[in-house]
Amino acid sequence: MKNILIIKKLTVKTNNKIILSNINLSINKGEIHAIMGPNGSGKTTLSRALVKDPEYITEGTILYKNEDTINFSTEMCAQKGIFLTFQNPISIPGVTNIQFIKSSINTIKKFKNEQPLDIIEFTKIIKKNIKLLNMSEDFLYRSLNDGFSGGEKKKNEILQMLILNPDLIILDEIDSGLDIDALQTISEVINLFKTKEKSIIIITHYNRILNYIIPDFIHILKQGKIVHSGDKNLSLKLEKNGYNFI
Amino acid sequence: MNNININYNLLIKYINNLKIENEYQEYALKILKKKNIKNIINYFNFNLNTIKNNKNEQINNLTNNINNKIIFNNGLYEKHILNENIKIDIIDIKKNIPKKLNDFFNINYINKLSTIDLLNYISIKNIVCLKIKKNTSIEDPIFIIYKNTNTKYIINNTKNFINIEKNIKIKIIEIHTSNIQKSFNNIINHIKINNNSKIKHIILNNNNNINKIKNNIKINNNTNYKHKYVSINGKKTKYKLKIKILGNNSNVTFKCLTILNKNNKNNIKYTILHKNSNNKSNCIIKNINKHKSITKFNGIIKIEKKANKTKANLHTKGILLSKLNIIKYSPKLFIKNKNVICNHSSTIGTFDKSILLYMKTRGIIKKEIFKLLINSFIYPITNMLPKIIKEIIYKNIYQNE
Repeated sequence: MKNILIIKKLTVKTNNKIILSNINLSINKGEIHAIMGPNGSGKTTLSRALVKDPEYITEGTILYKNEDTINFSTEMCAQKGIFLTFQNPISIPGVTNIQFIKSSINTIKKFKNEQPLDIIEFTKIIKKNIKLLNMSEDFLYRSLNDGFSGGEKKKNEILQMLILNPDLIILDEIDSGLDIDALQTISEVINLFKTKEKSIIIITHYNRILNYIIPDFIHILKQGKIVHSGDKNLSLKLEKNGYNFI
Repeated sequence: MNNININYNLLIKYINNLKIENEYQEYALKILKKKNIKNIINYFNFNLNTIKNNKNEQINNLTNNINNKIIFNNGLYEKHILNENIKIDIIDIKKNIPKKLNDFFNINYINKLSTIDLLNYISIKNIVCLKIKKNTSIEDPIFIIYKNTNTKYIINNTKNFINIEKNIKIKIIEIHTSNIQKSFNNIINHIKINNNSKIKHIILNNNNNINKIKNNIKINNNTNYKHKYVSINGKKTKYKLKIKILGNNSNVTFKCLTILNKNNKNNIKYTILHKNSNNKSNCIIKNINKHKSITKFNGIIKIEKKANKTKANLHTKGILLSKLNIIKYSPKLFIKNKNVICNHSSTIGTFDKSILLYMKTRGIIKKEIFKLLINSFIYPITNMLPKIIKEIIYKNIYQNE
């Protein structure tokens, strides 16, 4: 099986308004695709549709590992290996980061009929990954994203990605709100994480992150449609001429 | 209707069989009979099947090693183990009534009582009076445990007086529990707190019967009184907390958490009177309702003319976990002084959709999400509770899922 994701004639509506129409996209294992587009072009809607956000109604087909996702729920998408990082990660006061991640990993393990991680194994894994991201261990015991800076929230998203070990990663504006050092760290970690079996969709406004994580393909989304696709050089043209050149 | 008739007969039988111990009870009984006794009937309208559970064993196991405890069984004083600085009197009300109880044994007081309070008044045999000696700091909390073990239908009436003298630091923990579902508990506490004291008062209601718990608190100067009420069961519970701050420079906090399920009904009434100046009060109510449960909260802040520089807050927050349950909040503020800061807020709703989505994108299933979110919602109330109470809460909180 070469494909990890095939999108055919996808239309996405919310509140009776069509946001995306006739989207076709095919992503193979090990590929990195970037989706770029101006504000309001439907980038986030696409990411939400892929994880079956119930706010969005879809028509068309989404095949994940050759399985139609029509009957997938949001949690099932995650359990089967689709991971979305949020543009604005949600704060949940009172739920500690460590509680949240442990609950998440063990639910996914249960779904896969695997043994849940005991506290020793879990602590070992999380400490190893937290070091990679230059994060302090204090983060684990703080309420989830509560009082975190923009950069800390984004690092926390990547930490969750490392622990949950998904196969398809959708990075929705992971670069927004990051300083250069944090962007570099996050990019290095993502590059380390990526294998031939894992695919990444990077949703971004800017070329900046694509200097660190080199995409195989770039797609331009405009007014709810993919209007242009190309290789990594496309981002340079966009940087120079803006979206109007298409 | 059948239920009401059965219970009405039970109540009449109960009242007719009562042994009246003194002239004040006799007077109270006359007043009660003049009132419409059917007012009490609502309390008795519930399924009479006896269902046993292991709650008392749970409590016994947890409280075996406690140093300070007073235990009531089926409404009657059973035993106590107490620190030497705590004086306990079990007053038999047939005999001479001590002077300190004169306020409660007079006709004017009886005339003011509600129907349910009259029932308590005419039913009590003993009054437990606790006195904490001045200038003491007691490390170990004083546990007051009310349990029901009788397998017959039973009405429990208890009245306690707690007198806390000057310069005292203590923690009082009340636990209401039952191993049967077949009783009506009518408990009244009168607490007087003198100057310069720090009191933590925690009440856990884990009694799945019909309960009326009433606390009348009088506070003097420079006192810090923290009251927490947690109810995780209770077929039908009325909880009344009446606080009078009579002195100056005192600080009162009331934090309340109820988690209801099935057809449970909870009625909470909080009244605080700020009589003098420089006092603060802060009330935080949190309710979680599941299934067809109903929570009603009435909060009243009264600020008198002399109560300069009062600061008073009243905040309520409710989470509805089904479309069939009800939460009603009624905050009222009566302010007679201009030099005060007072505020209140109320929110009722379900969990935020964006939070649910975020958690689902991490693979967490709905049941687990609710557990995590309920834990986060209750955390501000439960975080400082003693371990023993937390254990009881978390053992029972999800049992009816």
